Formats: sequence, C-alpha cells, structure tokens
Amino acid sequence: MSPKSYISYTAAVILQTLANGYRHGFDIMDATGLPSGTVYPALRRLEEAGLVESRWEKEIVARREQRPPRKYYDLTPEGKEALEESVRRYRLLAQSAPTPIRKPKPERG
Amino acid sequence: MHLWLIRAIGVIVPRRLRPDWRGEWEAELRSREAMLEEWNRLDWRTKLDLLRRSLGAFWDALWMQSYRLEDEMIQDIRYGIRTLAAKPGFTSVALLTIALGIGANTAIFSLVNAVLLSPLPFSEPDRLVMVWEDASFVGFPRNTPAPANYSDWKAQNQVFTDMAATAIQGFNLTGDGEPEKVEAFRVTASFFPLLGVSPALGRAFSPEDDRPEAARTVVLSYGLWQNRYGADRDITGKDILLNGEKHTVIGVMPAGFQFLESYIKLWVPLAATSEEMAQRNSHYLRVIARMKPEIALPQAQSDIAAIQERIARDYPNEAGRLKAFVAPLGEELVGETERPLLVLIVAVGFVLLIACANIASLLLARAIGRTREIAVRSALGAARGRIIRQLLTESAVLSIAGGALGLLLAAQSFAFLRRLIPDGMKLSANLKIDLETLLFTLGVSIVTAVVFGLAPAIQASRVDLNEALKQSGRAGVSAGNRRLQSAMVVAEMALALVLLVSAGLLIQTVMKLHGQYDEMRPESLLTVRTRLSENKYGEHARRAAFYDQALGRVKSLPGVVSAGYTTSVPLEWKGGTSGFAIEGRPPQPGEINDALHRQISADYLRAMGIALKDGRYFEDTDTNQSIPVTIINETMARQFWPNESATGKRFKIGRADSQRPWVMIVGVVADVKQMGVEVAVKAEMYFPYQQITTHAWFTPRDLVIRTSVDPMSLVAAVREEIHAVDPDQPVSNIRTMEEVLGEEMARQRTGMTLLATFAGLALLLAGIGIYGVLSYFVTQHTSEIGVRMALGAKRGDILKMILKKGMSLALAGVGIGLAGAFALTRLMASLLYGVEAFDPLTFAAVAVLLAMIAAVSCYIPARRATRIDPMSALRYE
Repeated sequence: MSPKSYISYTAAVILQTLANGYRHGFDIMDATGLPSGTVYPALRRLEEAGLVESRWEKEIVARREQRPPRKYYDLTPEGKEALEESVRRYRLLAQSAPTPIRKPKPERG
Repeated sequence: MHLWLIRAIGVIVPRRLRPDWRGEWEAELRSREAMLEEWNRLDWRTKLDLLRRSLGAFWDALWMQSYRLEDEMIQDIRYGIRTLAAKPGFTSVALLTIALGIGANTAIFSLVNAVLLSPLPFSEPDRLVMVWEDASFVGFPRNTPAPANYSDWKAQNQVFTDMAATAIQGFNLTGDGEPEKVEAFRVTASFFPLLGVSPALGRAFSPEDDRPEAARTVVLSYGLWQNRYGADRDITGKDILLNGEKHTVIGVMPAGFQFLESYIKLWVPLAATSEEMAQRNSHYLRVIARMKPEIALPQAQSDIAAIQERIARDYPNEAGRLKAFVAPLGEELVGETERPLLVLIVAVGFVLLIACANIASLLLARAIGRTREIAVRSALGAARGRIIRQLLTESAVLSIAGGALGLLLAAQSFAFLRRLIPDGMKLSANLKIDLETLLFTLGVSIVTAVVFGLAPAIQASRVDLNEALKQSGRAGVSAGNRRLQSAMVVAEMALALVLLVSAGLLIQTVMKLHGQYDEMRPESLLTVRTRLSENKYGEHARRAAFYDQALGRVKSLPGVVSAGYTTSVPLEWKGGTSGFAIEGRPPQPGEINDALHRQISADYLRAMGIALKDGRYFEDTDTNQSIPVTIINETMARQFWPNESATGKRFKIGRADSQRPWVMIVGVVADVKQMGVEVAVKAEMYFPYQQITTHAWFTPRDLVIRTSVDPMSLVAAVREEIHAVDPDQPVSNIRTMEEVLGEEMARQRTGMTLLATFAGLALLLAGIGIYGVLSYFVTQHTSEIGVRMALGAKRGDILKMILKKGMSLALAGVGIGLAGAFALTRLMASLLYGVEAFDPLTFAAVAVLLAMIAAVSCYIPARRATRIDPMSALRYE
C-alpha cells in the first residue's frame, strides 16, 4: 500500500465525482466544471498513484451505439480510502459534491 | 474539426501511448457529439464548446511527455550501467580519472565558498570597516592608529554609528593550573555590540567595565573555556589570575568567534586612562567602525581623511604627514587570498578539461567497437537523436558516479586545504560538504558528461548502416574520429604545459623566498618565548638578572652552540618601532625618523648568523656603566647615512631635546627580512638590554638557541633551565626558526603544493592520453603496418613512423601550450617573487620535460608496432 500522499482539493473533488457515478472524462468535466486541461492530468496522476483505475468499454457496447469505445475510470479500494480521508479534511467536499445521477452503469466485461 | 485537432496534438504524445490516447479523446468527443445531435443541440455554441474541450488535450499531451522521458530515461540508465559494467577496465580507469578531476574542482570550490563567498559571522558585515593610519612616509602604509587619533575620529566623524578599538595584550595566566601565556585583546565596551555578536554564556562588557578604576573583568574565548576550564557552565562570576591580578569572568564567546587573529584567547576592557587616550605618538590600536546605513565607503573615506587633515594641521610634529583611510573588513580578512584562489580555480578547471579529453578519446576509440550495436539499433528504428541521448546518458552515469567518488576524495583533502584559509577567518570559515557543494558537484558532473560525451556520441551515431553491418569490424573508422582524437591530444598537451609552467614558477618563488633565510640556517635555531610579566619584572635590574641567568644556564647545555635574547625574532613582530633624532641633524617639521627597536643580548646577532658588515658586535663590556651603544642594519645605515659610514655616528630615541643619552653606532649588520618574506626590509636598530632601563615595551622576550643537534630535542632541557631561574615563568611559542618561516610561508607553500599536484596530475593524464591514442592508432593500422613490413620496411622505419606521428601531436601541443602560458602567466605575476612571469628557463625546462614524457609515452606503442609479425597482421583482416 503506497504511503498516503497529499491529495489536492481538485483531486479530491474528482475522486468524489467518480464515487458519485460519473465515470467518463467529459462527464467529470461537466459535473465539476473543471476544464479538460485540469481533469485529465489529475486523472492520470490519480491513476499513477493507484487511487483510480481505467478501463475501456466493451466493444459490443460501443458498436451498438455506433461510436468508438470510451475509456472509463473507477475508484480502487485505495482510492475509496483516500476519498474518505479527503472528505474528512475538506469538509466542504461532502456538501459540494455534485448530486449523483441515475445513469445506467456501463456494462463491464 | 476537433478530431483533427486531437490528431494534430497527438503528434507530441509518445508513439507508444499515442493510439490509446487518441482513442480516449476521440471517443469522448464523438460520444459527446452524438449525444448533442440526439438532443438536437448541436449548434455553433456547443461545437465551440467541443473545440474548447479538445484544446485541453494539449495539456494532457504535455503531461504525457513525462512518461516518455521517464520510461526511456530509466531504460537508458539501466542500459548504460550494463554497458559500463561489461568493460570493467575502461570503467574503472574512467571513474578514477573523473573522480580526480571533479574531486579537485569540488575541493577548490569549497575553499572558494568558505573564503570568498560566505558572509562573515557578524551582524551586517558589509557595513563594517577598519580605519587605519597611512604612515607611508616611514614605510607603514597600513599603520595601527594612535589612541588620540582614534578619539578624534570617534568624536568628530559623521559617518559611523559607532567605533571600537582593540589592542593586543599578553597575559600570564596562572593560579589554576599550568602557567600559560595567552594573547588577549583589550577592547572598548563598544566592541562586541558593534560586531553584533553576543556571548554564548554570560554578558559582554558594559561602559562601566571599560573604566580604569572599574573592577577587572574578562571574557573568555570558547576554546580557552573548553580546554582550560573544562566547559564549566558556572564559570561566570569566578576569578582568574592574569599577570597576578584577579579578573572576574563575566562571559564566554561562542565557538568559532574570532576577530582578526585566531590565537586570541581572552578579551579584557581597554580601560584606558585619559593619558593613554591622549597619546598621539604610540601607534598600536586596531580600529573598527560600523558605517551608517545611508553611508557608502567613499563618503566614510573622505570624512575620515578630512578629520585626519585637521589633526595633521593641529599637531604637525606628531602627525604632520600622517594620513588615514578606511577599508572594508572583508578585504582585511580575505586579504591577498583572492588572486591565489583564482589561479587554483583555473588550474583545476584545466585538470578537469584534460580528464575530459582523455575520456573522450577513450570513448571515441570504443565507439568503433560499438558500431555494430548502434547500427542494429538504428536499423530497428531508433532515431539518431535517441541514440545520442542514450550514449549521453551512459556518459552521465559514468560522470555522476565519478563525481560522487570525487566528492569523497575532496572531503579527505579538507584538512590540507585549511591551510589556505586566511588567518583572520581560521575559526569562522568552515570547509564542509554542504548543499551548495553537492549542487556544484552535480552540476560539474553533468557538464563534464556533456563535454566528454557529446563528440563521441555524435560521431558514433553517424553510422553508415551498410558498412557497419558488414562482417569487417574495422569499418567506420572515420577520418573525423581520428581528427578528434588528435585534437584531444594536442589540447591536453597544451593545458598540461600551462599548468606545469605555472607550477614551476611557483616552486621557484617559494624556493627564492625561503632562500633569503639560508644564511641564518633556520633549521638549527630553536626559539622560545619567555614573556616577563610587568608586575614581577617591572624593575630593569630584575629583568637583566633574569636574562643573564637564563642565558648562562642555557648556554651551558650540551648541544647548544650559542644563545641570545631579542625583543622578537624576525617575522614574529612586524612592527615595534621607535622614533629617533640624529645628532647634528634637526628634523623637518612632521618628519619622523622611525626604525624597528630591538633589545638584544650580546651574542644574539652571532647566534642568529647575522653577518657583521662594519664595526663590531656588542660585547660583555657594554653594560649600563659604559657608553650607550647601538648596532643598526644596513638598510638603516643606507637610509639615514647614505654617503658615509654610519659607524661612530650618534642618535637618540625620541626627540633631540629630551634628557635621554645619545647612543653611538658601533656596528652595522646585514639585513634580515623581518617584516615578511615578501616585504622590503625596514630600518632596524639593536640595543644591548643591559643599557636600556626604560622602554619596557621592547624588553626581550624571545630566546634563540643555535644547536648542533636537533633543536626540538633540547626543549625539555631548556624549559628546565628557565624554570630553575623562575619556576613560575611560562615558556611558550616553542618552535624552530624553520617552523616560524614555514608558518609565515604556509599560504605560498600550500598553494605551490596544490598547483604542483595539479600539474603532476595533468602531466600523468596527458601522458596516458597520448599513449592511448597512439596505441589505438597502431591497433587500427596493424594490417597496414604488416603490409609495409612485408614490402621491405625495416623495424626502425616503423618505429620512426609511429614516433613521428605521436611526437608531431605532442610538439604541436607544446607549441600551443607555450603560447598559452605566455599569455596566462602574467595573470599570476603578483604571486611570484624573484622570478619573472616569462622566465625563459622555466618555459624551456617544462617544454623539454613534457616532450620527454611524450616521447616515452609514444615509444611503448611504437615498439609494439615493430613487433608486428607481417604474416599474422595480414591474416588479421
């Protein structure tokens, strides 16, 4: 388990957003209002730190909707721990987290 | 449209990661686009929004760069380490060479950092200045001021927040252990606050302590407190005995604190009486001042100069031609260390360059062996830039490893380098490996890697695929490679020559400086100091009795040839003068006749080996009942009696109208360089101590003993004899005259040793360099040589051919080096003594030496060439 490194507020927001069900890069952008130049590097960093993992949609799903398969992100167990830690630190986070949307979960392989 | 943007930005994403990256972005954009279309919201606004989002891909792509570097960098480092480990011979030689080069640079950097770049340990040190008298008219351009002048400056100046004065005072520390002689500073109460340093324990002096009638107080140095008082934390309030008088310890200064001299062990208040402060004729203070925040040096200078002019007008007899000036404290402490340090910096730079050239040569040679490897990589798609980067990384690994080793070596040298720290900073300047040193070492390592690695890397990557992949292993020996190698050798030779010439000049300088004292035979002279305390030996009769008895006992010791007492041995006290008036020659107003005042025993001059030039030495018949006599040195005779014999003339100490008796010159002796090894001799007058009953200031304190055995072997015996006369008399400063000389020339000697070491290193490296290149040449041309021999060339011809090749490079280097030395040695002219910067003998000798070393280095590969068996050489193809 990697040592608990400092999670910036931006990263914490993104973790919360993931926890709330927004899985794709652009959706996270919409939900948080952060620009793509912020969200994507943060996602990469989180992935490197092992707090987030990425996967590609199944081909079948994508073909059905006639578009290329999208990448989606998910919290790892470590990421969930880090999120709890961040919610404690950034108390505003729990309140300002975007409301979860009822979206059908993407089919995982 | 935004998809094109993604494609464009994607160009900078590392190839390996590109497909995934593009896939992610394009998928997001497409799905967003599709969604908007579905909801009929795809208009120019949303399209713009999509564009905006795709622009963000740029930052993401930038972020991807770190993957590229990281991955490939680690790959390169691993590969580099493997390659280096595969060739342990080359790697260890290269490592050692780099370690020496970088280590030397790091060591000198630490020195420069400690001496030139570190701030002084006082509060706002660039505001601190020293104020000196300028008494050039008697040969003291930087003279310790008289108290009355100090008082006037202090009272009348408008540029200083405060001023302080110090005076050296010797004390016999007794009562609580071995009697010990210590040097102290008497200081005004303003001294410690002015420097802005607080005691580590207790307090400093208050204005109340600084009065002659105040209870006696003392502040200890950290060293004394540790050594003599065992770091006793309750020391404040205790009393110690200085010259038999009780002084209360009120404080202890922090470790590493020093002001000017490093041997000061205590501070006592100046506590000057009003008479002392009104003295305008005795010059012995050191004055320090702090400039007001808004004042710059030139203003302080003109202010003091103006005050001194007023003093000169008001007191024409004492100060008619006296001037004053202000000098920054930093200058005072660093002194003339700047130029030598610069020379050392350049020297180590040269050594490093030579080391780099050697390694570059080696790498160039090795590049041939790697042609296939590089060709294969190139065929597999590695870009040229990538190959160069990989080769440079390899060089960097070598260089940084060498640098780390060099750092260790540098740390070992600190003990030796400390001798180059000027005395004024000895306690406070520290040679250490700190962050700056580490950064410097790292920086130099990386620069070194580029310097020696770039050319070979570029050469190696310039590979003709077809040629290289053929079986013949000798392909790809480009003319460029050979030219580069030759250039390296020539450069190395040139740099080595410059260093050798510089070292040669410095060696001669030190020899000439030392040679000035050869007649004295300093190695067989023992010197000890027995400073008599004023309390016990206030009376002249008591003093004279002590000297008589001490001399009598010491002279009877076996192994002692002769002995004598003097005020101070040469080089120990660079001052101590008295004014005098010549009989029949009334002085001009403001003109002062000034000479070093030394009281000696009858045998002193003989014991010292100071030759008699005219007249006679002192005899036992020169007592305080006979006529007052004196002996002067040649300089004084020439200066004041230029066209006549000085013997028989008379003068008196002080003014002509005083009651003191006239003294007659009975002898003239040879000059001794007393003011410094490089400083002109000053007029000096010797008096027999039996005859001078006043002037206790100059009473003899140094005993010199000419021995027929090793001087230090007599130390215990001498001590015994002194203690037989007076058991409480401290015996200190026990050294041979050779050691006194050595200390005086420590800086020059250390600099010389360093430069000679660097030059020797350079010579070694250059020799190895030329050997390596020539050796490689022979290997590469084995078949050609074989052909020649098969066609009838004799071994002698082959030898000549190889030698010619090698020596032409060497001589080219020597030629360029001579030109370079010609241009550069003038920069060190100020460090030389007794030898010119363009000393032709040195230049010639070094050129010959270098050529000889080169010849030896060339001979070995040349002989190897003659041993080539033509048959096997031809088959070697």
